[in-house]
Amino acid sequence: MGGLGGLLFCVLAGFGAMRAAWPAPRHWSAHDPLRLAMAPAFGLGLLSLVYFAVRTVMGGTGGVVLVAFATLAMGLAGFAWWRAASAEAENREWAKGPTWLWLVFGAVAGVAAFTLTLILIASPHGEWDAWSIWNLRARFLFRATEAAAPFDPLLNWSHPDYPLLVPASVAGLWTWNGGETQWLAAAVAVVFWASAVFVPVLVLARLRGTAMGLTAGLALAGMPLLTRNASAMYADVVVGYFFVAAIGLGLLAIQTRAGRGAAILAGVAAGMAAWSKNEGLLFCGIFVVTFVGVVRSRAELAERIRLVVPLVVGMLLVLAFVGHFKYHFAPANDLVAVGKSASMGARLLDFSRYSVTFWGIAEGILTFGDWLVPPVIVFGVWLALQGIRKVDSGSVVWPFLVAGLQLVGYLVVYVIGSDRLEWQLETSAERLLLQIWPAAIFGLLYLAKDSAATEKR
Amino acid sequence: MSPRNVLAVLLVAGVSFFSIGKFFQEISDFYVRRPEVDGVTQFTFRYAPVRALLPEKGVIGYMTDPAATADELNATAELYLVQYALAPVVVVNSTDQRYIVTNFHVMVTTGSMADQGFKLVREFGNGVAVFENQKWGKR
Repeated sequence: MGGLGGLLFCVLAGFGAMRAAWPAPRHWSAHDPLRLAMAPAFGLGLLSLVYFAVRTVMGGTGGVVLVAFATLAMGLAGFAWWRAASAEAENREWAKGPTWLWLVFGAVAGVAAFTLTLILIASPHGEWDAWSIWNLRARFLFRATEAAAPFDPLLNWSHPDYPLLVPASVAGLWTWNGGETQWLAAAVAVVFWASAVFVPVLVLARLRGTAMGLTAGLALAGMPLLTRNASAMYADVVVGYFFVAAIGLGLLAIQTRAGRGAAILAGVAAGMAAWSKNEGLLFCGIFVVTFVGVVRSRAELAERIRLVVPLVVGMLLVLAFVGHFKYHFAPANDLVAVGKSASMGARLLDFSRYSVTFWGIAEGILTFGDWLVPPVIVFGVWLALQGIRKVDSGSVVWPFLVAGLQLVGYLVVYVIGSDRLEWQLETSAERLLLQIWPAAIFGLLYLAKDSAATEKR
Repeated sequence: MSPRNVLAVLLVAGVSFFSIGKFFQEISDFYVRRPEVDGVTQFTFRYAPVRALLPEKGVIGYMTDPAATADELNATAELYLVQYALAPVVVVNSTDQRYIVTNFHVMVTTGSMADQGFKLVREFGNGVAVFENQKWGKR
């Protein structure tokens, strides 16, 4: 069927999963644009799980991968169709927003997408980490006849402990294609870039008004670093997308009638973050704890407890694969391994490391994103103009808090885990900040006051 | 939208538009001057016939010349690219393997390699060859 067929099956699987967990009537419904925007990335995640289970764990052939994934996609679509029969109609109220803002967003997103395409044509194998880690692992997964080959200790320089969503989805698409081709690896990069831009737009448009959604879209599509990192075929945009998708779905579960279905999907998205990069494991912990803990009343707490069960179930569905990979295939992560030998406790008490880390991150924040004006200044002024809305429930601050705690987690890992602290800050701080950027901008916009019209709605 | 809201959105829109525009300009300048074939494809293309020669699993050694190792970052990049080209065979930065693959930038004669105990298996041109380590298994 070719690689395009594989991509279409990913959309089918993703859309089927969205509608199976969060059903809607059989006609095109109000949330379907959001479901469709989320579908390709979710589908690629599912393909990577199937590829890992069939090829690496069970030793099956590529043909078995195709049959298994096609069956899963059609099964999910069928289940979604069956659930649609009894689904409630969705609220069609959807403010269009100012036309000029749509035009500006369209222009910015169009320029960014065109730039992304140019870079992918010029560098189809991506940058250093792409061909030394992600695409290299995809080649191993696709070409190797032995399950353990991609994780050989001789390849420790290529971080064989890194989770497999990106390489296994590329290998899965190559299986559909019947051979390797770089345009499919590029397609994966484009899917996650587009998801990271459009999904926050649609979620915020639903929850806080279209103008707010489009502002988020401008902050994401207009950031050169996001385009540069996606075109480099790194996994930071991927994990950043799943962070913001999980938060968005979590809010939809709390704020709308999507309820438990969206909660399951939020958990799956958080699990997919952990299946994309190790930083996702930290996110899963923060996500669950804050989902239950950041409340302002007992009624809110009771509602969160009701929703956290499906959320954790969704998360565990993916974390089971992560756990199997970590236990059976992945060597220890280098940060953890180094930390063990050099005593994390001693680092914890070395206060000079806090200072170095703090200033390293502060410098990273001030120069972040390749914007003409640092985003902290832009959004500082923006927030002064907009104002912060009344915090009448925990969910108002929850998204920004999750992003903030994720950053604190990174600071702690730098302090206690890093063997070459200054070098690591220099080479990775920008990418870690980028991972948090979509969630942070989403959280900030969710926290801010919108126009009077939206407040009344 | 109130005038304050409009001003706030215009601020983000302006910075965003000009930032991505500047980036596009840089990339389009680079794009028109780019080489016909990208560096990774060009480099790894040299190893395509080696891959056809190798089995589907195993480990192969790697040898480059002092000219390459002088630039440590570049030497590392080239080793990783050879690995990228030859996967799923594992490439190790050592000659202590039965077979080794070379990445030479200067002329090296088979005679000088034979003096070091390496017998030519096949030469592919452009500094790429596979040698058999004659000392392998004799220690």
